[in-house]
Amino acid sequence: MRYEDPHPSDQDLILLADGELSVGQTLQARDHLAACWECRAKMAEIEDTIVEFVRFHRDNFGARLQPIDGPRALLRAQLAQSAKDASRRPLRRIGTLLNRTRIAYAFAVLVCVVAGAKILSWAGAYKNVYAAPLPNPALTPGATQSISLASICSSTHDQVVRRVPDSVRQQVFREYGIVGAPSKDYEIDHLVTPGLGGSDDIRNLWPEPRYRTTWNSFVKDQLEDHLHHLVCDGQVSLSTAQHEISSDWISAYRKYFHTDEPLLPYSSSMAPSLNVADGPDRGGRPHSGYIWEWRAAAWHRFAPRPGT
Amino acid sequence: MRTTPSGLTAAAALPLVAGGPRSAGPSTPEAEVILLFDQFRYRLARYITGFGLSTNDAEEIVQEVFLSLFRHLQLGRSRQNLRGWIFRVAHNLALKQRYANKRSLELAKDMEWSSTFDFGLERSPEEQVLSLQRRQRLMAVFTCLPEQDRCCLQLRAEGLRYREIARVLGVSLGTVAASLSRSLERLARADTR
Repeated sequence: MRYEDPHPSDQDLILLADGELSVGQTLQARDHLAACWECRAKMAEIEDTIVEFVRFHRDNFGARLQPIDGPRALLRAQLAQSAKDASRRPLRRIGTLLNRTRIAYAFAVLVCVVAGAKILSWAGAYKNVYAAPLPNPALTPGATQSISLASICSSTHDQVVRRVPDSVRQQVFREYGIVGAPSKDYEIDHLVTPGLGGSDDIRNLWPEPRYRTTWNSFVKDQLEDHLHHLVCDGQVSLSTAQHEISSDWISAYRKYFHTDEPLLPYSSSMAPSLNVADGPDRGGRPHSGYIWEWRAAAWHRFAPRPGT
Repeated sequence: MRTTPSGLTAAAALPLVAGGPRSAGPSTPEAEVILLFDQFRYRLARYITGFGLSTNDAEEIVQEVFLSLFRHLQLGRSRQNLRGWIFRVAHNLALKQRYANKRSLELAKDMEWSSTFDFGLERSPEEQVLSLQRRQRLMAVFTCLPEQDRCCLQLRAEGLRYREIARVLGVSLGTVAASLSRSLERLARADTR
């Protein structure tokens, strides 16, 4: 007898035994088996092995299991409990969802409140400074020292202006509610300049914007220098100059310069050797007598002569 | 030629548990789960103990499987091939439990060898001894098989089709076929010695 069909592999025979071949493949394999004793014998061996293994598996695994009644009763009880829990679960889910929503809402409100407070404090701080080129009279009424006119007029800038200690600077910032603002944006200025007998007392110090307002520390410097010159020339009394600069320096500027706006929009690029990096409170400018003369000369070019 | 033991025919397919005549069916998920429990509990426990887990662990896992099935049905999820679903869940839970137990899979040492085999009344003492020796050889070969091959064999013995086995183990159909072929060949060699 001739076997014209190729012999199926052991795997094919197993697939055949398990019914995993397609209809066409099954028919083909069965046709072959009908004609091939060798493959039929192999198929029988495979099926015997399967049968033996099934027995082995059945006898060896799970032979020690207890009767089903106990586990079934236990499962019934657990299913009943699970069904009860399931009826409460939608409410629990809603409750959980509500709780989570509440928590998320509360957190969002908290974040908004904190952020808003932060923004307001910044805005307030900046508003307090930028909208008020004049000091707070309650905090900075002005203060003078006991010094003669001769001393004032014979002293250099370095001799009358001393660096404000950092602790005092910080205290001034705190009192004015300025938190977190860059210190280089402000000058801890003397309301009554030392060049007019002003003291280093904290009641004479205030954080004056350097750049961001029209009436800033550089503009006040113009007034200070001009008044110093007028006082030392005898054209204005020292007490008048101290009073006018301490009560409302902007009005004093307008009065003595005969202008409603600053004569010179002072910027760092205009002054020689000017260094506006963090440094001494006078805007980082070098402490030298040259400053008095240069500034006085510059302003005198623009300032009207007394009497005119 | 070997005689075919009573109750089994050489050409009989392995018992397929799925299907069967349609009946009115259980009306509630609870009743349905109990029905499936009665049908699969023994098979599942047998499969789970094949991982080297104790019967207590196997019973607990079976309970967990059917509780999960209950929740699955309650949520109205797919009812397609629940048998495969049950075995897949059991397989994963057994692996998890084994990892938790940190037991090594030395089945020959850890498993209690059952001596209560059903030899059948027709068997003579000599046949019983031979049968016992045969089982010992099969056990020795079985324990040396790679885990995937063992799982394939056991799942097939529990009546799952190749496609179901592939889904339970997360392998391809070809892998299942190759695994079974390889395992049966080894068992056959041990059986014929």
